[in-house]
Amino acid sequence: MAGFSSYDDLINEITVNGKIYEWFFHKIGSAPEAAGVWHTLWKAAGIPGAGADAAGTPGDALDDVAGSMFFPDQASDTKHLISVGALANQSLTLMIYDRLVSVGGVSINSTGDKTINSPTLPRYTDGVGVLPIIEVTTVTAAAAVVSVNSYTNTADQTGRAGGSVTFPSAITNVDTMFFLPLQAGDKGVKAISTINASSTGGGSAAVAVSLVKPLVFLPILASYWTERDLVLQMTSLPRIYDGASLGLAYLASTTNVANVFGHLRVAYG
Amino acid sequence: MAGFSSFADLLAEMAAGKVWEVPFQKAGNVSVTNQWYSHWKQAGFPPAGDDPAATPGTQYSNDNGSIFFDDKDPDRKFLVKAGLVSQSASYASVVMVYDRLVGVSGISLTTTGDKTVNSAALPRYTDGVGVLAALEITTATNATAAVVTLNSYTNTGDQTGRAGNQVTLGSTYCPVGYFHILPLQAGDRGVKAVATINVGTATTGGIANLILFKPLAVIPLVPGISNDIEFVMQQAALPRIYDDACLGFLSFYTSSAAVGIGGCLTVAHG
Repeated sequence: MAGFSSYDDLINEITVNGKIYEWFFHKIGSAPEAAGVWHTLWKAAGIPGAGADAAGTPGDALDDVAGSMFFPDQASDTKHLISVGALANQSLTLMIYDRLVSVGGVSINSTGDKTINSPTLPRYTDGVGVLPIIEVTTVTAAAAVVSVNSYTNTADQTGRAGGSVTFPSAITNVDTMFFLPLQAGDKGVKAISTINASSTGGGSAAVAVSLVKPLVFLPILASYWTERDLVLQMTSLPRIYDGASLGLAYLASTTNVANVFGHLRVAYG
Repeated sequence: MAGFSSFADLLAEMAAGKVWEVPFQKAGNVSVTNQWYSHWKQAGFPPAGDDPAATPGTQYSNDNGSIFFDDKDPDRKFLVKAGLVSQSASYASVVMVYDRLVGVSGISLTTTGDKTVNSAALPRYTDGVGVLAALEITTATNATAAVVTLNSYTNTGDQTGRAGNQVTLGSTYCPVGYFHILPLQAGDRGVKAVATINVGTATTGGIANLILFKPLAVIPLVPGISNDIEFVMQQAALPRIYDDACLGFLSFYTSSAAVGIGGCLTVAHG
């Protein structure tokens, strides 16, 4: 039987069978755009090392990809996140997510539909809980307005369209990140056909479009370590699938560069 | 069977005396705000540790300056609780308990170019998974903030010549004990050995140890109030303490003021 049958079983797997991994991360990114705006650490230097931009359409399906935190495959066991802790020199909310597919080099310096045609999801293949994000990869010169206007939902309905997001500034920094709204009734995304820019980002503005599965959100007060146990304190035991490519992003509370240090513990059984 | 088959088994082992409680107290020194600081060479108990040897350095094994425990093979030892208190009246800090694995001394940051490290083999965590590299200042820098790169190391897949991103040390003045964790190349899960580091921008006066270490636990502290973290039921973690482990302490400073630490580690075996 994969998984843990009891807390005793978890203790046994960790201490007798050594079925535990730990990954310490340390990232120093770029300056966030503004308080209350998400900021990706995907391309920030540190541990793990800086991730690369994805290929253009149809992009990449990601499996233990360089730049992510990943763990050896353990089928037929299942891996689960059992605790996460972190500190930062700025107050922020840290998100740990599984980066599933990514399409790079999407120009938004003109209006209209932009072809994405994302590849098949490598994990969470039913799309439930899978969300679309965009990350600014080339600074904008105008406040773009962007939506995901043609995607496939968890019920295999195509041509679904969500609401738009307006970039917070004409000059929106590289690494600024947005979740793109879904159409009412949808529980997630299986694939993206196009995004639409109803207002241009100007200049050479470009973004990466990715599908991600958020796993944990961790609130951090500046310079104070926060740790969450995900077994007894906040029972959730998020599953880490084989091939998972874990990334970090945060909701900023300031425009100061954040120095983020923390760790994940993953047990399997 | 080594380890604990259940919580009841852990309690039974502890009741049978398979537990240590080790108090410690280490002074601090002024350092750099929002950066790590090493208590390794500070007085207290355990007493101050020595600098490692020059290349290929020192493999740490129950060394003076660390907290270490009797070998218990075939039993396994696990950290079950860490209780700490900050000795600062004013400043919070975050303390890391780590296993000090290999050190190489005498790395000069006063000239640019590659610096030979050629670190000795890891004595524990020999696959390198989760092992990090850092510079530990032994002679303070006092001018330009040095820019360094871990530019040739061996990763957990035995690939040599791996290189992380360049990083700038936290201040023009990095005092003795300043501790900077070095970035890795994308795709890497840890470090087995370091061949060279590169100094891209030199500083004045700076000499450092290259340290390979394995973080074990992190405990947040507010001034004058103790904090206990239990690693069995409060946090499912049970960090393993290998035979010959050399436990040391780092503090993440929230100001430049010196912060001493004290407390007690509880380790059970079974």
